Amino acid sequence: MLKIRTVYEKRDRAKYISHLDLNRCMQRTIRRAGLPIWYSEGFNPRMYLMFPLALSLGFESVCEVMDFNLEEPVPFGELKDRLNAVLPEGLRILHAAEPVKKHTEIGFADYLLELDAQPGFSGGWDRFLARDAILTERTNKRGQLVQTDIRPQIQSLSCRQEGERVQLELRLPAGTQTNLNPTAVLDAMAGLEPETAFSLDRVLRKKIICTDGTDFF
Amino acid sequence: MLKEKIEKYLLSVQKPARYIGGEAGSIHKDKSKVDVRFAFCFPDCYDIGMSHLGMKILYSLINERENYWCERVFAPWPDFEQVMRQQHIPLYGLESLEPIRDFDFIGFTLQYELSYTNILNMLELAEVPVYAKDRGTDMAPMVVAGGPCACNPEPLADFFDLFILGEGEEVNLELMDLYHRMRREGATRQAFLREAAKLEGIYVPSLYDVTYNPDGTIRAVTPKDSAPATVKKRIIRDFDKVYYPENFVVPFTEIVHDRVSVEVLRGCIRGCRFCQAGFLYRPFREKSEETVYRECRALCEHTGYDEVSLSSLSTSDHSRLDPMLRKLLTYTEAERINLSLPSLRIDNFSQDLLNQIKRVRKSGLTFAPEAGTQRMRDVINKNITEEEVMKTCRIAFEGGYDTVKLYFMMGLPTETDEDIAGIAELAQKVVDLYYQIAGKGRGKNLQVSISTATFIPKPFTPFEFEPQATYAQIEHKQQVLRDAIRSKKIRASLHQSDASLLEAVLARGDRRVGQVLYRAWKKGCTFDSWDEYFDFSRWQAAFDEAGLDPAFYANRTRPYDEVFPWDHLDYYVSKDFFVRENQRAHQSLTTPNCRQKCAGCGVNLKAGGACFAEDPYSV
Repeated sequence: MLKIRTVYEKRDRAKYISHLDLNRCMQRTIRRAGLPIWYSEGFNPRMYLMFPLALSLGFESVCEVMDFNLEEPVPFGELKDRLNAVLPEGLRILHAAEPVKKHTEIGFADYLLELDAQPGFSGGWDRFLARDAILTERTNKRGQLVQTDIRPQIQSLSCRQEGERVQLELRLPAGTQTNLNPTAVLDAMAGLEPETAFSLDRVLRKKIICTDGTDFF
Repeated sequence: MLKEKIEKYLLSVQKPARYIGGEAGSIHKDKSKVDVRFAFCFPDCYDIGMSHLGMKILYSLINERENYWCERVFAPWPDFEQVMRQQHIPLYGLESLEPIRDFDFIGFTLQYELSYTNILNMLELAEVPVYAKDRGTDMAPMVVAGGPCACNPEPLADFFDLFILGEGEEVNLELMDLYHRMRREGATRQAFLREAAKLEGIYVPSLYDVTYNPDGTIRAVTPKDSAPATVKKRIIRDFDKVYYPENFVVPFTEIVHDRVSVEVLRGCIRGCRFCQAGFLYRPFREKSEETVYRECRALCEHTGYDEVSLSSLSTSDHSRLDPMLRKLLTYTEAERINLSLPSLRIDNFSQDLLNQIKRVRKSGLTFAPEAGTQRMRDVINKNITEEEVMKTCRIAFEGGYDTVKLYFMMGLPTETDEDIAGIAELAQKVVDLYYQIAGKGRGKNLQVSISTATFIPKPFTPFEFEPQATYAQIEHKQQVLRDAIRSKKIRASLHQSDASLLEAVLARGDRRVGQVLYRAWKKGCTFDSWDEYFDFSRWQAAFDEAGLDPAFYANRTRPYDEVFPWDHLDYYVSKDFFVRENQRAHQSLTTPNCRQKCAGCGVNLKAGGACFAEDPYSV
């Protein structure tokens, strides 16, 4: 049994494939490619695909990770080509290799957000970040309302505005412990800076980073 | 561009994957190299439409031609429809994401009557005139329809330019070729329609005048402009060699039948008198086991599906079912593919067959005795006996099954309360049998489910003359059944709805019913086959405004010599045969299946030659 890690992009029409549907789509893709995939043993053998980070519906990405196991070796280049030949539009394997790091090492993800906004957006963004605390509310598993200060979790890498176009780069917690969705950040911004009108156009996940600050792959 | 506009709102609706295309297996072409564009429209939501085998076949068939491009179109769910109307997004094809009003053909498949309002709605969303008479003289877009309900298309006659009768694998391309040629010649819509009417299987409703008697029945249907007096359906003569796709579009979002489907036979030898499909798809034709194997394998390899289903009206009637299954199982088991067999008949369900299916997956068994007493089953010519039902259940229980689902109809011709109580008695016998076989230990797992549906008389069946039971009659029958059930192990789900009355009206309606359809749609009726959207009060108002009585169409006994709205359409089975079968039904006389003895339905004379010339299994 050989462990394989693939990194793929999910763009254009493929961004509307939900996480659940993606799993099924990838299983069928692997069958179409005729790869010697490893099945779990037991009464109901299953193909094991592992996705360490789910991607929100509607987000694009150039750094999605899918791990699986093979029964027998296939050269990495060939594996990538065979999958790309049968993947639907918008999904493309960028590289395949043996996994090095564990899923639990993932700490952050970098996002590029494109917004339509009024000219004063960047000023509003600075004021938003200058706050001592940014409190958000959510209901936990027990149904209780909990408040979290998300300000320490937000790392703003850049904010560029040209006319009504804004490009915002954020590094946010991601992984098995803490997750912060970029839309939650923007929702908080809209609540606290109501005079800064904007609409989110596009989200692209660009990079996955480990807790120690190194790249995940 | 339309795509950007669609994407802007897609995340605000349920299941956006329904509206954006891009699935594996979908076909994209360079439109500058395409001569004829076809929008294949299924008048229901994506999840239902994508499960339809006919669409998969015709989609691939048209796209095999380099210069023709077929795209898929479904009815948007009301949440997205609202977005489309507010944002002025016209109905578009899922491949190009371009408006279908600019296509050459807008083709609908007519699978069930309760989808008709969705057709009008989709035409309006496409920004195409809903009435055929308002479409001017340009050839495009030509609005066409085919599928089983095209056998009586009269309620839709005002909305379509033409109908395609029978099997589409040949005539669809002939029609597109004719269109391609005549468009180069600069022909008008009307000239094209007159020419199209000469193709076998093409019915152009505007070329026929309908007159009525004072009592509301039809006096005559008169052809004009040299249109044929009767239009024959198309059939595929060499079914083993008929086109079958090597690939399907594989959806992202889950659909109703999400698997490879291979058609193993077409037609049916049984002649159940209520079953429209059993007569519409005659003659009976089979694919060889080699062809089925090849098609299964190609589809599994190209789609990546891990489930295959054999499709037909009655798979167990295939003369080489056993060797076919054995051959398929050698492949599917090695590739971890599930093989499922719907449409198995109860009376030739052998232990051997059961074990073969069980080698793949164990699931509950579903049978359709259709009626509770032998007399009633004889009337409908469902030629199975109680002994056979019991034998099948015995095999199932001995094989470890604990759940059995039984399907029945209510409101059948000549039906009495005794026949209804017979449904409960039959289910009780199944329960008793289970305890005999399984003993008390396994008893808690047993469940016998009864499901009943209201019988709907359909055209081109021996019951096309019969009245449908009224709402009040069905209510009474359901009470009789509930009172007759004695065991807690029997669970009955009894459906009663005005939807079956509407289905009966649309199934045997004439052209005047088109006004009702139009008014009901204008009042907001769409998705009538969905309980949450069906609203009979709007339909009732539409009937009242049009001055038509649903009972005239649904609940009236029609004399043998009445001119029916579909009498000028020829599905190769003669009306004389239907009259004979109707008479036999009223005498509780059964008719042997086609393999045992030819009943003289007429199909073999018109289709050329005997149905079972070399059949080694004929008795």
